[in-house]
Amino acid sequence: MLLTLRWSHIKGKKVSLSDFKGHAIVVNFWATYCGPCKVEMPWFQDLGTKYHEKGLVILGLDQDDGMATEEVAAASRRVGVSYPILMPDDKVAKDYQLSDYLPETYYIGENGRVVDQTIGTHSKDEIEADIQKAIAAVGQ
Amino acid sequence: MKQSFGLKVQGSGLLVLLLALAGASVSAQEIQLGGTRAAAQKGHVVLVSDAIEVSAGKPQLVELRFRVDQGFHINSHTPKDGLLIPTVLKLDAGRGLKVVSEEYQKGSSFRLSVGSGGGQGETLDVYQGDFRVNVRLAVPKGASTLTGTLHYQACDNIACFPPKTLPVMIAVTGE
Repeated sequence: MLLTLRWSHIKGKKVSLSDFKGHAIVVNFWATYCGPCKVEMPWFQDLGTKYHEKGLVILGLDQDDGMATEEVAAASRRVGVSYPILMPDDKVAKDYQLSDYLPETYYIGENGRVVDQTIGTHSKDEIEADIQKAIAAVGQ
Repeated sequence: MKQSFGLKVQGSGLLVLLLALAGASVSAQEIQLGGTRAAAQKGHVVLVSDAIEVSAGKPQLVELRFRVDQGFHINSHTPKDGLLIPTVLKLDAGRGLKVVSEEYQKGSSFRLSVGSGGGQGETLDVYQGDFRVNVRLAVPKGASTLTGTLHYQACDNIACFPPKTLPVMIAVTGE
């Protein structure tokens, strides 16, 4: 099955997975109503900074239903994240076969290979381990 | 010691997203959530009160009780954060039934804590276990049905579900 993974950036720019070819990517699905999501998002921010030199890209995909982009942007600022927050359409959730459960995170290595997928909040150590796996997969 | 909170998703082999032509391919995957998967298909809140008997005519105070599944919480009617989704009961008037007022139970303070590393969430105002909404209701004589919906959004300690709407249907007898 071929999927077109294009998302709208909160500032209006279209973003696709293919824009980050050669990078390890974390795709984190979250929502403003999700408390556990907001616990781990600052960790993604920290780890995104820590592994920036190794080419890590963190992307947050908002799953709120019908919320204005300004509100989503304000909420992400309040959580303390500055990585791109994207507004995917319904097709993305279908393409990723998302569960009815947030947060959900994909760790993607070389050529879009998903090296790990998690549902629910994980510890910062586990998140870092998954990030390291994705970075290592890009280097292979 | 490494501690695990969330759920790992395992595929039959690795899930592959192919970046060909700005697209990607996802292989079939199996989400292994154990008991959580069954829970994920439920609404996490049930209506406990299913019948009430009150004097007909003048408004009477009735208590509607709901129950949140163990291990879950929902926001109270007055969450502290405007982004959080409040629990709201909407009752239908008509057929001689008149809803005069609603009074929600106060929520309790709840702070999410993830792991020994001290991941702390915001302090929430929530309902856990049983909670009630007191409704002042005028009912006609005889049998009728009170209908409506309860809108809420449930989470457990590691994740959240989208907002849900629970249908409310209660047999009312006006004496």
